Amino acid sequence: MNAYLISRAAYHRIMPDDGLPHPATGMRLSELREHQARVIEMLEQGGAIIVHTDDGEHLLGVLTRDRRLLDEAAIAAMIDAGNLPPLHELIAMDDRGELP
Amino acid sequence: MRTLIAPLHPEVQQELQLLDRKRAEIARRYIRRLALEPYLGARVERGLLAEHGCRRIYFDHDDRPDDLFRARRPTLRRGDQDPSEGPRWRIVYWTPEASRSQIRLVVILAVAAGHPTPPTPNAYELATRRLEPLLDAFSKKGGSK
Repeated sequence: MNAYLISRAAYHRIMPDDGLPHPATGMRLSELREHQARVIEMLEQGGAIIVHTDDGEHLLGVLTRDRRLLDEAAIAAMIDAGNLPPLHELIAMDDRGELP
Repeated sequence: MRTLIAPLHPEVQQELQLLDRKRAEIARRYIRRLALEPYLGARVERGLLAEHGCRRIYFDHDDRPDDLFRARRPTLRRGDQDPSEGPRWRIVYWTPEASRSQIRLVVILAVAAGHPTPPTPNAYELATRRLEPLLDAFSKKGGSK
């Protein structure tokens, strides 16, 4: 099973209201391995793990395999990287018949 | 939800240019049709492409992409035929959704042969190579089996 850690910045871009998938919990990095079975179960249910450094000082990101979150993050990353115009521009391009 | 075809990746444009004129036109018409029928292609069943819900359309020179209701029976590969005997070409695509914006994108990942002569990469290998950096751009992947 593959899961993805969405960085803090990317997560806040796609979920400005800090909404979370369900179920969700917080863990420190070293706890991920310690509670591996629970982590996998939560990810399989479409949930998310909020991952902090072991000293609890830094939020590393959100571990998830929720397709909706990953899709949103991927689209935001494509726009940020300049591989895709912002969505409002893309809609305007489509209205003008400029898309493939 | 509105479906938009993402501008084609330069490598995909190059793949279309390398096709003969008729196949290139068929591929472009299939791509346009995806704006109306994003789930036209069958799901890819294995690997990273399957995990992200990617799909593929088989096509070749005798296809009619505008035949929405299959007025003409498509050429199908029989079970006893070698896979290389069916439609030779594949359009592999990914359909990420921005649910808050109500936009579904169709990202064409590859237009290439399904079973080329090695070491030429097939359409799925090319598509995987192009999907990976899109996913790596926002995340770090962890895997377990």
